[in-house]
Amino acid sequence: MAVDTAPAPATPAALLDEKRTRKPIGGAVLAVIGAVIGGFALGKLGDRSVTFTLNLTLPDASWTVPAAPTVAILAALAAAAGILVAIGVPTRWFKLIMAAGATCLALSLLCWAMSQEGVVFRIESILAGALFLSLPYMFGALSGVVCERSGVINIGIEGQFLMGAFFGVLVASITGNSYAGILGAMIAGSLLTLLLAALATRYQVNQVVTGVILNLLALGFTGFMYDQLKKTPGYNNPHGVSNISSWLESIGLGFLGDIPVIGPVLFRQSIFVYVGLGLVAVIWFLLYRTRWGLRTRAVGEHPAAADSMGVNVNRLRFWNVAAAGLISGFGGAFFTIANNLAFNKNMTAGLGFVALAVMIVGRWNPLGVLAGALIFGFTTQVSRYLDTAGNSIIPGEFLQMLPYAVTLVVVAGLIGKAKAPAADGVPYNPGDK
Amino acid sequence: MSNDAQAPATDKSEPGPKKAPFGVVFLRYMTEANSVMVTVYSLLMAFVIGAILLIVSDEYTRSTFTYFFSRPQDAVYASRDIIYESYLAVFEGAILNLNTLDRFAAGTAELGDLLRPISETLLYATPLIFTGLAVGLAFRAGLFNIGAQGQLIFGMMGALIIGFSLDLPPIVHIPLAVAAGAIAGAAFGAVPGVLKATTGAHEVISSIMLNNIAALFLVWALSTSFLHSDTKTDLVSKSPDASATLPKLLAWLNPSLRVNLALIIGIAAAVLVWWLLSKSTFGYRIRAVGFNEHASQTAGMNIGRTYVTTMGTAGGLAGLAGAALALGVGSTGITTNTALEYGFDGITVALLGRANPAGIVAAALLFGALKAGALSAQPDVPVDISILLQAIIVLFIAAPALVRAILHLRIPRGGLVTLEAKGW
Amino acid sequence: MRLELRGLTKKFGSFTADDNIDLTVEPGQIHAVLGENGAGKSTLMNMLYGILEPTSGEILIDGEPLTFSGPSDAIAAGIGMVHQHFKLVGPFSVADNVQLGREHTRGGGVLSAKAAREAVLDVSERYGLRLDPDAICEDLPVGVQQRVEIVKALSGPETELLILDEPTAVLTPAEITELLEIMRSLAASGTSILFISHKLKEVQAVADTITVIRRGKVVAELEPTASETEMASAMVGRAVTLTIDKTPAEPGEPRLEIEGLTVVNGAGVKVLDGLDLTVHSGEIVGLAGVEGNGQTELARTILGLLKPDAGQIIIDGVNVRSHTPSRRIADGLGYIPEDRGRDGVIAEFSVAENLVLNQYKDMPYAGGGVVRADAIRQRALGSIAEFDIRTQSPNELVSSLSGGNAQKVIIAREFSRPRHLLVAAQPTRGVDVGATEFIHQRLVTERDTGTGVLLISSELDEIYAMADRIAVIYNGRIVGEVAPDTPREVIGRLMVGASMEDAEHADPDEVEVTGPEAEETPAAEAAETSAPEADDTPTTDSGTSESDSNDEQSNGGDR
Repeated sequence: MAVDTAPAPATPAALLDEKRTRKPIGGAVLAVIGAVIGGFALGKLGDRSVTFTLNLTLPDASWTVPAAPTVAILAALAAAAGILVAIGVPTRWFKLIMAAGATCLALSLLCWAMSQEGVVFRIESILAGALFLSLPYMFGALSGVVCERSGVINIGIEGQFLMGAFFGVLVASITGNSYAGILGAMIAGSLLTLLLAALATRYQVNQVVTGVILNLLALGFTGFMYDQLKKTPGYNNPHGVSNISSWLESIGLGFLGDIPVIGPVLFRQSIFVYVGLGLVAVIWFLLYRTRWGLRTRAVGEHPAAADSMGVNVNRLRFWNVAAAGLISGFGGAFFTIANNLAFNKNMTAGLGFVALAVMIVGRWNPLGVLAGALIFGFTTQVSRYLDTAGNSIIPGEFLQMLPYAVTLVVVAGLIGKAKAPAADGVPYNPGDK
Repeated sequence: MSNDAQAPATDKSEPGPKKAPFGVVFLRYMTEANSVMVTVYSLLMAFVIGAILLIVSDEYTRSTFTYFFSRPQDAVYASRDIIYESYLAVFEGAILNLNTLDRFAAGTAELGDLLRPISETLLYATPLIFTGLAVGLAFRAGLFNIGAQGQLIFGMMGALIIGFSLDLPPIVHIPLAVAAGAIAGAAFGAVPGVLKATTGAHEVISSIMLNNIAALFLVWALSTSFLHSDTKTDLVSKSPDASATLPKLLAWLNPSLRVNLALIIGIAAAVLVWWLLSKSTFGYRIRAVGFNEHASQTAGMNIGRTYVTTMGTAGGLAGLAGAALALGVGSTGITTNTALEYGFDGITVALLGRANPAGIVAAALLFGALKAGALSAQPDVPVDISILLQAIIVLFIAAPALVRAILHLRIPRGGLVTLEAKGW
Repeated sequence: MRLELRGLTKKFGSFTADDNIDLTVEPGQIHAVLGENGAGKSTLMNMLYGILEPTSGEILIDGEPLTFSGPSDAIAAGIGMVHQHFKLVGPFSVADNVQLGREHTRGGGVLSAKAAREAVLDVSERYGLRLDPDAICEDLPVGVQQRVEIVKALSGPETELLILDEPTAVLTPAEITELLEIMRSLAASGTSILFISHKLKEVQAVADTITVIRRGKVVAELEPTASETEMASAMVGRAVTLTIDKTPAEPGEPRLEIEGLTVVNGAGVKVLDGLDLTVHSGEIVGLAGVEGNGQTELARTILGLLKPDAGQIIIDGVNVRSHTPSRRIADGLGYIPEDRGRDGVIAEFSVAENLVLNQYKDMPYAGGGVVRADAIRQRALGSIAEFDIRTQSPNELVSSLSGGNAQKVIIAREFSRPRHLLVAAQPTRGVDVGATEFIHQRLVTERDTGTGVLLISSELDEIYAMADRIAVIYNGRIVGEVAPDTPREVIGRLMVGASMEDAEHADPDEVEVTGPEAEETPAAEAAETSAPEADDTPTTDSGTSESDSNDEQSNGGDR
């Protein structure tokens, strides 16, 4: 009567099996794309070349490599990674191989694009610009992380951006102080999330629907106020609002800024860059290393558990969501204050939704958000760069589609499944057991 | 005030089942947060908030409040004037221009001039009917079709391509081009359904991504020689052949009245969706899956296929909106601006119409009127007042508990009608 | 700690969940509260833990009256609670789950992982509850998760009273034995325990005092020496008879043949592992087993909702591998799902619409893609009369029906169309006595018309009363097939995975609960011998489905 209730111990073979990951479809797709690009490169690129420069720190340095073999080798590497993944690789190497394959593929496409006549690969400008352009995604996605980790879906990042952009520049031009403008932007963004917080926690409204409506509300409200302001004496100059001081553009950090590559990228940037990167670290630390973070994550995963331990679920959610608006409002100020631009109707142009995508691609984790925002910022930067350079082989629109396509692939689980906090979007009613 | 009304009502009902007089029943109905009254109060409150914003944001009116305590009548009159003038301007642009009415009575204006605001309202309402149905139908299957905008864009391109590339008599060409729009929208709309059915990807996220992809695709497509206008240099498409252009309904009165055949198609689509939902087995399945997918699955229904067909049908409806634009207002060629925000507005239309076809048509007419009115009233009134009012109205509609709390209404039997909250 | 309840009452509207409850827990005592599902036990515990506020009455701790406005007050007063549905955050480590709400910090709100880990180890050593503080909760077996819950409850500041609400519902027999042992040692070290259960044997095994509640009232105070019959009749308030008039079965040709059926779930666990089972026409095969041994998956695989990874299912001689659920239903498979609210009915649909849920597109209810409302209405009127469904009209929503009547809608749906095979999973769960008898009678009639019936039930009494043949499932396979006159002890042993020979030759003395030496068996026995569950109130019914979803949230990874 030997009764074995323990789970059957896994055999060594089974353990080996578990440690391998195989993605036949994803791998095959990568391999085929890599092979096709490599083949085309050898056939089509001829004797074109790619020129790299460090234009900001070492203007004289430049390297030129022949385009066809470079693209072909990178594409072949990507194809090889694809084949490896298709036949199976040890799980701990899986992510690395996948990332390397994707990077090689991206680099090969980039080199192809940069092989155009008269186009120079200005590494420093492109990277610095990429970091700068990743900021709205970073701020928006971080705001999303704070909300959704507490279990409230924030689909209204776009609206918070608009509010931040509008009130940021308005306050800045009234006070003549950009910092006051940023503060105004934060408060404006927070006003919108405050509404979301109240509706989501107190009135238990469908959060996705609310978010969509709040976007519309922000669009209508800022547009309405913008039109009214244009009629108001003192605000009706050609920019719509008066100009603001532009010294926010970049703050150099002395000699650090002269280091090749990383200098211009990290140490000659606008205050927005420093704040954005700082926020990534701070929010990561808060989420994973503090009491607030533990409770926040608990409330997003299993509110009833948190409630039974005396955590006031809806109060925590309320304040977290309200605070998240400060971050996305700050992100809104990017559009006007950081770029030294006047407000324009619907000037955020859907970037709030990309931020939502960045949050998902980043798996609701600040570090993932950083990586996702950089990738998206890089794509945006490259597509702009190529657009201005003219007649790129890949139409700029398709490059701009890339972030959205990547997000589709991620939510479809083709590259691992993105798992949202379990109670994300589910209202908590303490009366329910 | 509701408490006062409630207490005596219950006292009275206790002695016997005597039927309450109409007035009491009516008052009780008025103070209850049922879906009709929530809709009414949402509209009222939205217009009140809009009025407040008009007062606050107007330089002159605001200035009269600075000396409110010395001469309050200035502020009161200024406020009254700006509210009256703004809302009247919107009304005149959407329903009836009083000035034209005077001229019509005096015989200096034609009937066509008098009908112009109505025609514009109907014109703007038409795409909203389609996109409202596209969102509303999906709602019934428990899906949030936030992708009507992308589906509309593809429908627009599909209808346009058939519209300029074939040479056919109108009786064939128009239906063919309209169908092409529906099919293109359906194909694009089915994608989030397929993704949800096969991988579980949430349709809201995939639809948002697809919306952006569609918008960028349109920009690219307009720049290709296949679509780009032969005569113009800016980003405009070829125009559909005259044989594919939707005939204007009131052209016999005045050729400048723009409301066209699409309105009739829209009403027909609403009837069709109503029939589909309430009479067909497909509609039965949509509702079953929308309420409880597990029980539907256990009863043998194919959930994945329902997602795909529902999203496809919804996409087809949004595609019809695209066809209406490409072959109607866009008959001089489409631009990146032709689609406006009709797809997104479909969400608010469906919410106000509570995902039921008759309600959607009514909501589309209301928002169409707001849009037409606001466009005609600018620049005196900020054009975005239509978006603002629209947003406030549906905000209240979506949050009946908020309306109830603000106005102290009673909870109706069976609870408040709220949309079911679903996570990712 | 001495806990005293005086006249504790809780009303929900006009419904009185708990009526004037008096109860005293002495220090170091295990006090059991016994009652049927819906008797008011959980409401009582939720008042004690500050989740619900009493309508009237007092809670006294060491003679001092206290009021709790939330769980934190109860925790502060030294009360710890282990909920029926675990309140564990799945992706959190054990240490994080234990410290949630009373975090160990280094100041400034920064967590101290070391202190949290040490606190867990401290408690687990003190009470002999082995735990790895760094393990992720969702990866742990259910029994260990419960240990985390207990450590969590004991980690409060000076926890002196532990409430255990139906703690054995989801445990394996071995885990139950271990839990009872833990309870004994906790009591021995001075912790008072309030133990809520409807399982007589467990209560008998550990309790020092037993309070029986029925319909919200204390109906008896018993000693653990009281006989099972005494406890059962106090709890149920009526003689428990579960005999059905039925003639001996006349099995015919096989209706359902399952060979080597294997199903692997998303987590890579074999939930069905080479299962073989045959059901003939004209017989009821009862599938006995502790819940969670593959019954749910078996039913879903027969219907076609899960795809087998190996093996085959043959219905009426045809391999149905490629058949969709709707084809199987159309071919004559009747299916009564175990979770009525989730899988059985659409609450927002009318009775009439629910009655044709799996026939909505067939003649005569539809033609050419059009629903025929008249035919559906006629059908509904017929079914309502035949199956005695208590509803005002066919158009009434199912959400307004009681649990028993909603179940009758499902029964009527499945029994009013041609079928050869019926899979009935927990067909009388949460159904009142009258409806239970009705459903049992219909199942027998069904058998007599030649249908093969597979009855899946976790109530051994129901299996005994109904089955012509009993198959016992354990860990995804059939471990024995026995006649219905087989002694309970034998089936009990099979249910915990003993082989046929071992089960038959077991020493019957070992079945009594004596102490730690008794190993798994007694607990398993206790697990099956649950009292019949009755539930006449629709309110508690919906409560059940809600807490079920909570349950999925807390340990969805394991089931």
